[in-house]
Amino acid sequence: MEPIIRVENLNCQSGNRYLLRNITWEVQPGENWVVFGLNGSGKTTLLSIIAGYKMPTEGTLEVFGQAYSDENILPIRKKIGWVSSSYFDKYYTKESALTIVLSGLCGTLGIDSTVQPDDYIRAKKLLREWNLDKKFDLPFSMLSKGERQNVLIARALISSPEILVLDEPGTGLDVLAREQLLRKISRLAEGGNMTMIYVTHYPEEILSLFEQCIILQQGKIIDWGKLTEVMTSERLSRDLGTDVVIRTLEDGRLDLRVKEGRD
Amino acid sequence: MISQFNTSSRLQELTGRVKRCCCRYCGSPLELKRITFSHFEDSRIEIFCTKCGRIEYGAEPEVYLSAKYFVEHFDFNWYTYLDDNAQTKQMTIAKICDILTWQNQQLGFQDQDGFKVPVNMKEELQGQSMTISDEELNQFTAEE
Repeated sequence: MEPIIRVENLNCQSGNRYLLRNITWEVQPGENWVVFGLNGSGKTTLLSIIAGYKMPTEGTLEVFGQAYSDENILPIRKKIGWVSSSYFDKYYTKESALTIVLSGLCGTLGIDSTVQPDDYIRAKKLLREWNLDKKFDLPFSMLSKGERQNVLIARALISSPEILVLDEPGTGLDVLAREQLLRKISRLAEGGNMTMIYVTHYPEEILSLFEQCIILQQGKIIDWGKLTEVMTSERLSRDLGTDVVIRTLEDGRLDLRVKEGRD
Repeated sequence: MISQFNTSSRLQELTGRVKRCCCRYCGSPLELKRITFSHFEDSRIEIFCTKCGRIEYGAEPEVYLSAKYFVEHFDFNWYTYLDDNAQTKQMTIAKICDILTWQNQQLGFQDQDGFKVPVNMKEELQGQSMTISDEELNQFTAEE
């Protein structure tokens, strides 16, 4: 089977600094992956490159079997739902929730004439489903962190994507909002044939539907494989360079504790 | 890059709107702006209102003027649950722009390239169909 995402020897530099180095990774259609790493490990950079919102400096990247080009970048972007507050918060401030959701249909940050009247109806339906009734026209900056996250999820879903990339969607949410979000993500995974990539630095957010995992550190993939094999106390202690204990909770979710005496 | 800029239908559309349209919120002229870093022109250009500081698709100027007139002369506020301030007024004008544009499109008067019928808007006649003078009101009352 042809991979839906193929990355080979990919580098991304900013000045002399490597944000990503020698990344090689393949994702097959229907697979659900976790990208795990500490702050600054390159998770968002990697996923923004895959989603077509940032360019690598070297290496091969193919999504749906194609390298990005002038002709295909927007059609490919439309098939990738990308949720990343760390990216979109830089660009969206005064734009309305409705406009942002509709922009997902264009694969751009703004809208264009490809948006049709029916799309407004769908966008509003999605916003209602994500608890944003009566907030369609509010500027992004007037929404709470959780509401902004929901707007970005609605933006990602409006184009019925084949790949859904969730970049730290739980960050900044209160515990109830985060659990509600995780339940919705779980339902999304059950209901479709999407390939999902979940980026996080919190193991307790990793749902049992994710079977594969890569671990990034300082821009490099330092470990990868089946989640149950990678996310163990032994391997994570080695990968993170500190002693940690991983426990699997009743619902299949993980719990990570740093061993005492390690500051 | 320049040749790509000239051949892309999206960029042509956005360029046309920038020449023709204004910001739905403040009425200012719009401009094309490279918002993100990308090798591909199509993916990094958006229409932007520099005055508002927002990515903005815009409205036809005639639509904006009608919406602004309606909001100002009738003191109309769509967002009664928000503070009544300049921002809320701008949001209301943008909302009315959307409603008018929608209606014009549904009636076939307008599409993404602008009005499909000649528009010769006389600003001094704005609202004359809605505003009833005291004299006219007295006349109506007397007739009743």
